Amino acid sequence: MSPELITLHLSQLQKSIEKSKTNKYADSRKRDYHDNILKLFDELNKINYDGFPETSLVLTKKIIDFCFVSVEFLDDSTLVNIPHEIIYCLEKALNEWDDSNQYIIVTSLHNDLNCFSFNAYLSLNETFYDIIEALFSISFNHRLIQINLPKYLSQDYLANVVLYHELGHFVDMRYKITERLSNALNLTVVQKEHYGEFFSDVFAAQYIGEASNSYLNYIAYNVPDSSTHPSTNSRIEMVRHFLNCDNDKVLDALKTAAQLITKKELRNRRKVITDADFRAFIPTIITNEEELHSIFEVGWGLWLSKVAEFELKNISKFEKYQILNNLIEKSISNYMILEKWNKYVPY
Amino acid sequence: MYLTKDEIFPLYKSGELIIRPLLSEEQFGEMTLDLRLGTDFLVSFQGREPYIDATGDVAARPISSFFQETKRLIGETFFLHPHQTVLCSTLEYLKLPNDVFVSISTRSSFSRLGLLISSIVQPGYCGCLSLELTNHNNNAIKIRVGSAILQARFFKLSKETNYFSGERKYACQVRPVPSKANLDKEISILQKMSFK
Repeated sequence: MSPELITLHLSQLQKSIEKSKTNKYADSRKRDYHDNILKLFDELNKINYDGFPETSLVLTKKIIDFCFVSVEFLDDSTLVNIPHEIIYCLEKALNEWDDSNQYIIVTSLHNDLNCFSFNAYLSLNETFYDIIEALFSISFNHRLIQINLPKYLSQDYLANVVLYHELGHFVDMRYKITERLSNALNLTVVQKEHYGEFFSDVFAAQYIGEASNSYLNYIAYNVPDSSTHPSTNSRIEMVRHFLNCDNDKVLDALKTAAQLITKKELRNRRKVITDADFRAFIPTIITNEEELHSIFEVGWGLWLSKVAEFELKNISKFEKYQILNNLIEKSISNYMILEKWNKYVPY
Repeated sequence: MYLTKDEIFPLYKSGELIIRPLLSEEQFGEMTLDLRLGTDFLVSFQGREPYIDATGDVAARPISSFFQETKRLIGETFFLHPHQTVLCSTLEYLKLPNDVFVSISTRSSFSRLGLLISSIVQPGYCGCLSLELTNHNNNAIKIRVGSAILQARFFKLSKETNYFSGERKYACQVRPVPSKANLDKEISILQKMSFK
């Protein structure tokens, strides 16, 4: 690797940095993280790479890559770009499993319709944070939980129930739940992967119940077992076992491991709420976090059934889709507004 | 019949009039209900197309592409530049009784800044209200999201109407929606006339 290639890479990063440096975030922790990236870029820019040994050049490239990925996710996590309402719900769920305030959920929006995924690179890989602190004395107070989602579905509250599953992957990897379980039970690599998926499905179901199955059964319809994922049917069945409190060997193992490792229970964390408001075309008044997560189940329940109130008014399927999305969004945003308002307005 | 607080407030309390969220009951005045500026905005900008085509021409650039979406949190601020049109919506989601319509105008304090809105909301409407804010002042105006910039006056009809009897393009909206003037049914009839 030549120093010229490093400076090329840095020049490319500069363009990205310039474009994003005035990003506005709703969460000041993102600004704090972003400011550290700017400092890191300044430090990288001061170095003369001529005569640098190969290993140092390779390491520098990796640090530049780290900056690029950070900016990519921060860029798509501004107040305008991030699916603000659903991320708020995920943050509430995250806080139940890790209240350290260290982790920030960030999103990257992609053209691929099936790109829903979690990447642990900026949240759980401490190597780069350690190296950066050692080399440049720049200390990051927070870590980024990277979630990828389709750009065209960023404001789709029915599809985005998948994000609870992705958050489940973070919690699993953060506490190494299935990794430790795998060691204890001597699981094969494939089994370990399957346990990880089951854990994330059950994690999501704690909050959104059957809604997690509804979309999964569409995007991965009838998909058989693979080396990375269990079959869709077995995943759906696992969630039903969990919701019905049935006994299941894998489920029981996951519940026990989660309890032992995190001191938290895999349990129903939602309170089923009535769909009467949505049937009357009005957002629901959500009074607590358990109801907050349940709003997705209300939306899915109505989407999957014939709603007499909608049919009487000749609401087309496209209008129904838009109305349900709107009502979910407004129910959540009203909860957010009231939470903030009540903090500042004395009673 | 023009409704006063004594008549509007019971409608709210009985659930016939929905206002969500209602941050303060002080929003009810003697003859009006104050409504707040919402969090989402569509800001018009000039692009490659020299004009917005509202004639229903299928080849025309979508009206939404003449607006840029932006968002604020409650309590944050927003700049309205001189003579710029911004679409926004009320913070409150309303559902009106089937026999009550609403007349919307800017509160006097905001009219004096050069912000003018005048609109009618149909009986039975449900959704946040879309607002077309234009700053008629020669200076930019900085406003705060959540501030009560509008007042609604309520009028009772002698009989109920059915909001959903015809096509409703803006029902249940929760963020500003660009004009759908090009989708008016009549437009296609008028278009055919122009070909003869």
